[in-house]
Amino acid sequence: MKPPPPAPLATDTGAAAEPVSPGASTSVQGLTVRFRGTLALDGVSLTLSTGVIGLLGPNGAGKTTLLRILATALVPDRGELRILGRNPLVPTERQEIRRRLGYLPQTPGFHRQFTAFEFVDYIAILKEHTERAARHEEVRRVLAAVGLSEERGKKMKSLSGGMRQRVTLAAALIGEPELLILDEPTVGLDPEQRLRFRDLIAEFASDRTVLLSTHQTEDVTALCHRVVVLEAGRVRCDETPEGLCEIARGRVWFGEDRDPSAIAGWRTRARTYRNIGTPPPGAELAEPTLEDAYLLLNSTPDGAAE
Amino acid sequence: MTVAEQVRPTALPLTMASAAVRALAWCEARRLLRHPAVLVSLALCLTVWAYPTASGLTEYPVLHEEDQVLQLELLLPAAGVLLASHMAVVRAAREGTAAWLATLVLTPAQRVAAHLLALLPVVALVATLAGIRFCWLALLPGAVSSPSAAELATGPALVLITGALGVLIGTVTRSIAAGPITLVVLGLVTIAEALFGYMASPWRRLDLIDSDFGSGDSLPAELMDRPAELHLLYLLLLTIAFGALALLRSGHRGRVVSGTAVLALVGVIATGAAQLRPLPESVSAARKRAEEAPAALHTCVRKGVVTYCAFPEFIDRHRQWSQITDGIVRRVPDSARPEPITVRQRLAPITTPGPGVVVEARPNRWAEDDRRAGTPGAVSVGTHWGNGSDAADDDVSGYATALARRIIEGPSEANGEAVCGGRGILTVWLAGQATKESESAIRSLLVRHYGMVIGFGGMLETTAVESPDVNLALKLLDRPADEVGEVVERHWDKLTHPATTSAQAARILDVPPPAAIDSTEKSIYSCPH
Repeated sequence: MKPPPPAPLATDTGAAAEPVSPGASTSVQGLTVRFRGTLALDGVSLTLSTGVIGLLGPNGAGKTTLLRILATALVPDRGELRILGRNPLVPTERQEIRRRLGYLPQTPGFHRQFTAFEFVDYIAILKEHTERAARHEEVRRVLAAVGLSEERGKKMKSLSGGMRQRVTLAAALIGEPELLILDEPTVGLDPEQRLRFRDLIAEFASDRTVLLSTHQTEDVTALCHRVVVLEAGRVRCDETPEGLCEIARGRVWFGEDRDPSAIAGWRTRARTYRNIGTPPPGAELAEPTLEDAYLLLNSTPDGAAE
Repeated sequence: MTVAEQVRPTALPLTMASAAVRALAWCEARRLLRHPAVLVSLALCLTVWAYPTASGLTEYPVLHEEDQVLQLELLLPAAGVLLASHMAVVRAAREGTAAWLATLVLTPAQRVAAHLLALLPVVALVATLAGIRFCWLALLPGAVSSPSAAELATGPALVLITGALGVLIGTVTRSIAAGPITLVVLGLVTIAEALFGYMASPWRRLDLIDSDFGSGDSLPAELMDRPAELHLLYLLLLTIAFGALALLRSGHRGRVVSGTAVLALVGVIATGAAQLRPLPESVSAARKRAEEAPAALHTCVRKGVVTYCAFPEFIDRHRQWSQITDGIVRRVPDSARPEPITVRQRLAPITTPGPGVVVEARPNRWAEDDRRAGTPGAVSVGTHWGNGSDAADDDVSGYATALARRIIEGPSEANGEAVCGGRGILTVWLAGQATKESESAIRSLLVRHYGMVIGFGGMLETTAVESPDVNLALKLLDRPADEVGEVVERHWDKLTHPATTSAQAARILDVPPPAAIDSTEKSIYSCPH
């Protein structure tokens, strides 16, 4: 099978894969953040729209920094920022954003002596859910959504890591936020729980925006209508998952051994090698996955369109 | 390009009354009430209340003193609340949720405000428990006087101020050790004051509690020189200052809070300085009058042949005194029933211990005061009562022996001199058999006694009896009182005769004669042998 001509790699154009919908109200333009001389974000521009948007990138690419800015935890050095139609640099508007925002940090922490219910209830209070009966109803709802109704009376310190992760996810879901920002939320979840998570987020995102930072490309494939790849503080690619996969079309092939010319290669269950890069003539091409495309993107210099 | 910075806390108006702050305050209050430090400290406090109660040591409270004792006892929950409130404030930093919570709607200042408000239910609980405890004390049949509202309010105020201090420390440092270290420092300051005698100094009033243990005696309220209202105001202003500083530390920049902090600190300095004044001349003069010539200040109640005169807030104590009186008089034959007797309450020398302070000898102006009041030879009684302390034992045994002596000897102004021979034995037996408390007080005195002459009445020095005579009387107390009483009644004239020796009295009472006193142990107080 002759490989088709490889698609050019996307570069930081600042353009979303989908046209900006009139209702989309979260956007960043030219975001720049520097930590002690290190450029964490370098002119990032994005517009978030309804649905699940995956955020991929290697460690240190700036994903968490971007999420923290969108979660109003961090102020950028430069750039324009609108979150849910408001300016987070204005204190009153920032509070309004926080009322409508759900954020699950990478390492959220937990209060050891709280029960799962108490912890989520505590977060709900901090999100200004003041009416007690309604708040407790909401807490029960989100705990049920993450499958922890039975464990709600258990102390956080006695829960497994995966259960704690689900509790914190439940806390992020309090109040059905218009914008949900999740930083590696599936870490520690077993396969069954990951499926449940996908169901939950897919349903949640039907009329809301979810920004999902993860290293799990399967989650992105399953959930996201759009993928943003960050690299070294810049948007390397902003595509649909299918579009991103197309980048790798014609660049993935099977071989008896790891091809020395391949950018990446690994042994598969069928004892053949799956290689990514520029295939040799006559190579047996494989159907590309999002992971292939992501690896290819990460291994190729920015702008190295072939 | 500048370095990226964390979002600064919002400087929105601090809506203390906002529903979210109140909801968070309730949440934190429930956690505070369940915190082990609070529970343990409350349990300790309840134990401190229950033990003496179960042991019968608090049957005769002086309420204007118990309100101060209550403050000391409430330092226990105050310490627990300090630890718990501090740990609650640093919880997010310690358990890694601070960064997350910083992205939620309530600002750090609002969270700190909630921590401060969360103290109120705990304070209310402590105030309720303290109120129940105090009502119980006040309803005891042996309670006298009335408490000061400001002194009573100071106890719960201590819990509030230590809680606010815990919150403030939590905003200054994330260290979990800061709370216990603060407690240790406060404890060391208190111990240092006790060790180095600063109790005598007005500076002690700048502590959380005005630990005025100076007089060593139970004083009428107006002689105590405790600016309780001022101290309470000082504590409340300090609490407000702590709270306002905690809010400022948490990032709040409102003018109202800044202004409140400044005004509260100015108020703290003003009320602190006002407490540093020396003992007012008027109080000093009133103490001298009460000590040397109390008759003019006394209220009197007559019961039978006995007139009881006491400082007004202690007059209800005559019920306990009359029980002793009745217990003694019932053993006196009709022919020897006493003429009218006056019992007069006295104060031991009022001193404030400290460096260089010497406790003066008892001023012996009472005889003159009694003559002036038309009650010569009045029997002295102190201001303590019960078996809860050495002072109380001294006053019980002192009154009982003084009254017995008065009945045996008749009117006399010879306070403090030894009662000898049969009179000595009879005096102690009459006093001991009067009530269970008087017997217990006499036995307690013997445990503490050394020397050949036993002085009764503590600082009042009402009576002295030689040790062998006291021991003989104790042997009589081991026998049925009615059996001994019958012998006493039959041989009253002989036993009360000044020439009757101890050995003769022992024969009459059918007990072994007292051991002879070693001449080397005799003192100027000893009886002639």
